[in-house]
Amino acid sequence: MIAEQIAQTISSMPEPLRTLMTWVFSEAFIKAAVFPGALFSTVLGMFAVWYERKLLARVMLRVGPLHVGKVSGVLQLVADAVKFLAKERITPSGAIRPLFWTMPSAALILSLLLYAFLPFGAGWIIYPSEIGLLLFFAVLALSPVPILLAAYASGSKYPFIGLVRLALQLFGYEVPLFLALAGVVMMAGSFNIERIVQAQSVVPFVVPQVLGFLVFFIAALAESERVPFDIPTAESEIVFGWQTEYSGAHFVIIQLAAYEKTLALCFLGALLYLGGWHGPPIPFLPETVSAPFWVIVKALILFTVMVLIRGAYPRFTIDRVLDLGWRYLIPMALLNLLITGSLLYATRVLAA
Amino acid sequence: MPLESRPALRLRVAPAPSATDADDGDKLSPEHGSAMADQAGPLWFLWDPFILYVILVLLAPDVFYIVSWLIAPSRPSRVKRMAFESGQAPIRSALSSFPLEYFPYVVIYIAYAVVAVLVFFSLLSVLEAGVTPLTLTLLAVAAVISVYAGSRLRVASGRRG
Repeated sequence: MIAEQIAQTISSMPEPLRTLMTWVFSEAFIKAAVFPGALFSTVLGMFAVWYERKLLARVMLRVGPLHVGKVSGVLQLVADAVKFLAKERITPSGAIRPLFWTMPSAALILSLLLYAFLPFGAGWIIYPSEIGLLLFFAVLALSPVPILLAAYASGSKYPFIGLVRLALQLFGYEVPLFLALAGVVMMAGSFNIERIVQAQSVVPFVVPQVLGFLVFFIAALAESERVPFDIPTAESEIVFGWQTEYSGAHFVIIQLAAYEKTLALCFLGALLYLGGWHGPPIPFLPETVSAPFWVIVKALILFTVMVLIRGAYPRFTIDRVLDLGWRYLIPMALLNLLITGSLLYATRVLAA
Repeated sequence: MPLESRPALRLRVAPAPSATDADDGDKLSPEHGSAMADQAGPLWFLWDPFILYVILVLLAPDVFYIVSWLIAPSRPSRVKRMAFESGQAPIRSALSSFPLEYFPYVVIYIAYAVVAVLVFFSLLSVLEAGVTPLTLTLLAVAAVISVYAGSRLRVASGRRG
């Protein structure tokens, strides 16, 4: 009804305006700029900052932001962003200027690119592909590179220590993350995330793959440098790690990049393990709306657990982080693969 | 550039969605690039969700820098530009050599990266031909060795030895 009216209004417009409006209401523009695309991911990133501050305050018996904005200080974020953007960007004298200036942007671009490969419902995806999960993992594997270059280009000692910690942690934890994802791919029989979600219409993969989900979640925590794996930026040990020399707009961009990456990993967890958009139907809502709703709810549940972990646990030391990775996570992920393979083989033999 | 002549970067590991799949309510998004085929023109890339998204993502950091350029002051001084070193004047270059105690972990994780490659290729074979006893044996060997290594090997560095 409304769509017809819009179509009629557009077709009655003069020419350059008509093409423009057709473009604005086209699938390409809506996907890229509004829903799974730019507007949604940036607004969600900002919401996540506010949500984390409020929830963390509850965990610590505080109130959190309260005064800016009528409801629970929602505008505190805007105030913070304006404050940071109004600060001077200082480039240390020992820095390699071109790298120091461009790498925060590169980090944000790579984090935002992750959203192109995440489906939010049947058809709600920017780049549908048979190898969507591999593409997601490829971008994720690239994402530490700008951070390492940024730390190297800072020309300061604390970022340099942060760089070494970051390199060990992030490149180490990509192995268990990939091995955990391999279990899901084997069970669903596809690298296409939409197919993986469809394969979970009866039982979400968290049930047969408990080990894999645990490994995925812990590795995702480490990949997004969140407590208890925040050693690369440990603020009570090495000032602020690799971010020490960044100020003003650079700092806002780095923080936004970190939140986008964390949330993208939460969405991936919701899609691969928690059944994606399969959920009880909501009355009066068409499936095109309820599917993204369930994905977002499940991802926010994962994000809530991450925040609660941040509120409850102290930071690991680097040797413990590295030990946990290869002593527990990798064997668990390989066992999970073996169990998955055995289950598949058993069902095949029984069916034959 | 006509759309048809652009190389399609596709690696198929699963069979393409067929018409019979669609009949059982198995709704998959069409492969990338099919939706905008009718909109070819000089601005064809604006009708492609992915290319449009990449353009927007490339513009995203610039928004912050433009706002910052408009409202942030710029009064650099020698003291401000010093590298942060807890209030001291920095001594020597930051890019000095430094003892890395956790070197054995690098070797361990590189070894496991090779295992990850092995797992990837066994995955491809599983997707092509299903689980075979050979794949199961490979996975079992990898799992048993990793459990054994994780429980028995000692890393001769770090505080806990």
